[in-house]
Amino acid sequence: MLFTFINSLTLGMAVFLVAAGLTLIFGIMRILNFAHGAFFMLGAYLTSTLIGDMPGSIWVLIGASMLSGLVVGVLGLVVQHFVLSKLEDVDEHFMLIATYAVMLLCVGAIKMTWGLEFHSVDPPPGLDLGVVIFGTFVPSFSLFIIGAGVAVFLVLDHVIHCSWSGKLAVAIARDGWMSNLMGVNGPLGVRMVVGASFALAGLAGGLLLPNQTLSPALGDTFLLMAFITIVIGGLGNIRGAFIAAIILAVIDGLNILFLPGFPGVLIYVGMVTCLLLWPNGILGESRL
Amino acid sequence: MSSSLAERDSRRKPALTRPGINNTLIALATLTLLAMPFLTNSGLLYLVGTTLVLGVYSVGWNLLFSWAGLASFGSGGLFAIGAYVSAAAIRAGYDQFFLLIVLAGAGAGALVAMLVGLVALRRTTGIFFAILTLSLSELLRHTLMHTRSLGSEDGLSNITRPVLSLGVVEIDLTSGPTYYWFICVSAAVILGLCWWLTHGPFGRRLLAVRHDIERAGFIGIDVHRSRLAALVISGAVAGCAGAIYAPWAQIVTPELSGMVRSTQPILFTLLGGLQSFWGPMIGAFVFMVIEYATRTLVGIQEIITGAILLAVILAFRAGIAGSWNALIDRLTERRADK
Amino acid sequence: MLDRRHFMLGTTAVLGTAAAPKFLRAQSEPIRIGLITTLSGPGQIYGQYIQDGCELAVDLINARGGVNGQPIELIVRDDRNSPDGALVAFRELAGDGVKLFAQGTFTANVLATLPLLEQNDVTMMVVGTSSLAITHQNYTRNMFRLGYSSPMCFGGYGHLMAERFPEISNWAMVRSDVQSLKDITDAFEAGMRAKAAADGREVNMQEPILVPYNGADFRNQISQVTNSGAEGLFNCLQGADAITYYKQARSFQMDKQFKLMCDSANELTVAKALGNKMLDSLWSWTGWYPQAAENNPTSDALLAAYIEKRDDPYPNWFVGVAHDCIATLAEAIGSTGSTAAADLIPAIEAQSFQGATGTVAFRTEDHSFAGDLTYIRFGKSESSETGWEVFESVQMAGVDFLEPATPGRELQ
Repeated sequence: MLFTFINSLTLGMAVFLVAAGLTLIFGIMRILNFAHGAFFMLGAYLTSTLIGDMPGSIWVLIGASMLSGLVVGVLGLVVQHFVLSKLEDVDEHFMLIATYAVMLLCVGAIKMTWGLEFHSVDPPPGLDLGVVIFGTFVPSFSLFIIGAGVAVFLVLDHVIHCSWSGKLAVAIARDGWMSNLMGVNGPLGVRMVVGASFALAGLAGGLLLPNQTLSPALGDTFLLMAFITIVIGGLGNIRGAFIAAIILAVIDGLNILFLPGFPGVLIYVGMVTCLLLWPNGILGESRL
Repeated sequence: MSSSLAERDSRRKPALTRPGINNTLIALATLTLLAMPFLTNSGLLYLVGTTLVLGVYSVGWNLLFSWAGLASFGSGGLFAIGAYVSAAAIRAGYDQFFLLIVLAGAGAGALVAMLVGLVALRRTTGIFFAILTLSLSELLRHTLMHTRSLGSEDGLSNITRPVLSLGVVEIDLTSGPTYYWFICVSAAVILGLCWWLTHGPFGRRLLAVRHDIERAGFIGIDVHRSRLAALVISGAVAGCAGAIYAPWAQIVTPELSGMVRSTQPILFTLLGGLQSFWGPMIGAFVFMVIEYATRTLVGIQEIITGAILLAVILAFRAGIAGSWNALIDRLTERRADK
Repeated sequence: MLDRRHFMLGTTAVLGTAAAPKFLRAQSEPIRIGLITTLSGPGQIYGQYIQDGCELAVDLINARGGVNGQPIELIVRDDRNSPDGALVAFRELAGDGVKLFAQGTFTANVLATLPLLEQNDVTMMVVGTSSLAITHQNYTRNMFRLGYSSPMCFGGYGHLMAERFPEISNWAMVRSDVQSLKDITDAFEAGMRAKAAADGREVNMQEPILVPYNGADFRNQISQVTNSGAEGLFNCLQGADAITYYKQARSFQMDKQFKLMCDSANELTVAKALGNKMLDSLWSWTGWYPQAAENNPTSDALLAAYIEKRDDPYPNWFVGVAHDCIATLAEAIGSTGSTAAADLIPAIEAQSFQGATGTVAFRTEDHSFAGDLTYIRFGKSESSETGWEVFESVQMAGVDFLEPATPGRELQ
């Protein structure tokens, strides 16, 4: 029982790592970024190139993930400059198609660079086995993912709600025109948040790399679940996404305990129910 | 080819207006479509027929999107319902009542859309409505994949094309060209109905709701019922398109309810032109041409499709129809200035 | 009507710049074979193996001077992993006069084109698909399936395991939540039960544990499996799912908990991805394992060509099977001197030759492949450079396990 929920929480936090960047870019630009999964995958491939088959230690893994996050963040700025910023004054759905096109390009580029074969990267030494907590066996890497999810959430929450730059970003997101009048460099703020969103995708890719198999379909595994998470939590709401990820974990745990014959189905049912109960997400839609 | 023709036309006759040019183009396109079986081989004919069905399906989606302001990400589910109704009925041997089957497909699509609308429309809008419909169609796909009697993930195959019996006359639709013409006629009927609906009082009511939901309510429009009606109509069109599609492809699979099919109308509409009745149809055919022209470049399909899509979106930011109209307007204005 | 249409076709071909070279090419020498497979999206890796196998076969045949002096030309099309895509590709090539086809990977895409074969006078080789529908309810004379039906390759698998390891009587199974994989676990179970019953033993086969398809985390199901008390384990997951599953299972030390572990059909894909973190020992079925093929020059030549092309000494089994599909067509064209389906079908039914995968022959009644079955056991190895090695391989005659032929009807 406890074991089931720890495993489901691992899944939930893994999804949160992907969803964090997704909800951030929605908060500032009001777009569902279809390319997010592809850039997540790119982060994973970059990290694997940096560290080879096995990271020397947990710090190597984290460092390489951050570096990949940085690279993906810069690529995000490129996408923002050449694509997204050109579509600001037309119907918001054009951005949707644009991110879809960017996703295709990114997946295509990954296939050309790294090929189609499956690759696997191992957890760093010390994280490849398990520990016993309260008489329950828990894989160490699960704890690492849960820890990473919580850490990313705490940092983001602090930056958005307590720091100066986070407050500026919130101001731009809530009323870009007004904050421009107040002397805030709006476009720069938007660029920073978009870059951070992509960087988070890359970072998530690196951190989850030892947990998954590298293949050009990796992005699809997480994208839909990340969408569902940010919708349940309230779009653009980072706290909402975190709570939704935990709810998702509970639903998944219940699914495994009570409906083992239909794996993964309860998530959809749960999401439909959540939306009907809280039409704007649990914590409501938020502009960051 | 068509653009140069239109330009030449407009130069010769200065009085020619934009509607005039566009109507001529639509007439030309219709004639070309009807003559398709004489012009191409069966591969291209199949592609054009499929694109026509998908175009009609996308026009139905756009009725919901551009007129009622609701973006559904789950229209593939309604398409799949129509397709499965049609496939199951034909395999059960009711193919002589094919027209009724198509109506049943439309009815099934409309019914499901209404049920979804009754529950969802009052509570959700915008992106939330989009994701809700996406999840529902995913659930439908899962269900179809687990239903042995509907062929699981291999779907229903070997669907024969029907021989229509209309009392005294029998119309044989088993060959490619005849079924193609049947698609053309059905498309004309459905598009005609949609045109009539969107350009009448109903369409104006919907536009009022989309522009300002509160004011529309003040002037006595039942906002909820108008939106529900739009959802039901778009569901009927999707179901109908699905029902016509099944014997054309001769196979239906759960993937019809997947995300690819659901996002197709969005893609076509934005590519072709927002707020434009013909936009989705134009988008569908432009996309078809892109895919067909690049079919020999296997293995790098993602890059090609992505790059072309991005280029088109950035070049025609109002969609192809919008940019085309703007171009014609500019040309005619310049001539008027002279 | 026909004349006018031909006239129109000719006119458009001359007018249309893109169509012109193709129109002219129709009169020139090479034998054209159309290949329709999945070359975009998630299934692309299998499509690429098939394309590699077919291209290498064509290269090898053309290097020997072609078939009866005529070279072979392969025309490749992507089915975009949809029945629609397969239909467009098939109709385009068939309309262009192509009479020989190979098509592969996903069953639904193959089922879409099967009804069109006869009216287009086409001979088609189906590459690798294991679904029963193709040779049973959707059977058509113009199709030969060079692939392994589930009862044959997984029934044989169950039989082999029951024969070699009679001491293991409690089995657990894991599969993705996909119906086609249910056929595989069912066949494995049936084969195992039949052999055990023949030996007068009882086996306990537990209900398969289901995992989500293309899932992210399998730990819950892994712990369920390790707590099942079973001694033998049959894993029926595909591709990335299988690798993720074995990888996440490592912290549970799954391979220490089971006396015997069997993978369905991922063969060396698992070992190549996991490297020196490979499990201790794992069985798998494979369609082509060139290192075990003795006295088979076709297999050796294909392996050499593949290594030259992809620099990988362990090709996927699809490469061998795809090669043999082209080789089957070439063999039949060579003996009949014709590319018409009416001549080729009886020739392929009658012929038997050595392909890369072993003896290539088809059952006359339903055109099922009745070739050799190969099972390999591989695992972690300290001495090997790759970190793993293949310990043994077993070959069996597939025909012993082939299900009864019921062309046109569903197998009961």
